Amino acid sequence: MKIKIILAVIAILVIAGGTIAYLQYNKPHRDAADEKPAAELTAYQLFASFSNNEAETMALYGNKIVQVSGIIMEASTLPDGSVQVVLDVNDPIFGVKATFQTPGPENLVAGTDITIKGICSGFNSDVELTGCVIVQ
Amino acid sequence: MKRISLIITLLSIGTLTFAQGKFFTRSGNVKFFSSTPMENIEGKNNGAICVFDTETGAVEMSMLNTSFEFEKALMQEHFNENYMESAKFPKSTFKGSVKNFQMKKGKHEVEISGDLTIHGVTKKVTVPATLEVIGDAIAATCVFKVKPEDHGIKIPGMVRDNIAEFMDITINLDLQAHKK
Repeated sequence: MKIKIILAVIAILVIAGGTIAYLQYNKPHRDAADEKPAAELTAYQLFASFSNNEAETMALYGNKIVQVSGIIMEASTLPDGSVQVVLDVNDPIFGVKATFQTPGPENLVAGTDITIKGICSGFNSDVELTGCVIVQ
Repeated sequence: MKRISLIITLLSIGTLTFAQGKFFTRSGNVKFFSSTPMENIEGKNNGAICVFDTETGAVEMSMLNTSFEFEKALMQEHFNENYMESAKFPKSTFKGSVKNFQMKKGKHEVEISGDLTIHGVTKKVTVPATLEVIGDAIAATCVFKVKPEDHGIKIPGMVRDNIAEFMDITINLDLQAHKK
């Protein structure tokens, strides 16, 4: 009787461990559409903050969902089908670069206002947002 | 500091426009692929910045490690937290030069040599690449291998069989000339 109980406990632990490992292995990616943004700011404010103090800004917004509004400077569909926009920040070259979740939005045009949400990946001359969705 | 260096590389002297001979992309595609009998792991980054000066052959490239995307969220988490330590080493970079390149229409097989920095460890590399001049653009393709341990990336014995000894790196760039 005691052995049966021990075997049952072991079986439950193995099944529970396997289930947890399976769920962990297959856990979904973060979805910006489902998360409340940690901050709402303009593309210019985000870019200026990174330009002034990258480390401090990364501590504030890095790996967090941020909501950013601005004017589209460039919009492109990449060879793998991903859609990317760069928001204007009054810089001659760089801006806030946002890559959308796939399938990405269609018909984005330079010069139009947009508000997006995405994960702030960091600063590499452009500020980079990934997994973005359109808010407005 | 790296941003200043990149801007200086990009800009012609005294003006905020690109000089002729400078080609640029901010959406370079970089993939790495690890294949073992246990599992395949693929990461993809669509945000690599690259500047290529066709007059001097100088090339610079930089990407955020946190912009690599994976099929599984857990792989992405392990990549950033356990292996690349992206909080400590946020960028992977390359700085070097292209040999044997002539700005003529068509495909050119070239060699690129320089310093590859991953996980804060810089290694001299020479890799083959194909550059195709198409009008005002250059399509660049480069395939090579990287051993994680060469860049100080430690892989625990428990998962060593799940991760290839050498990663296949594939880079595709659509470099555009910027006109005044």
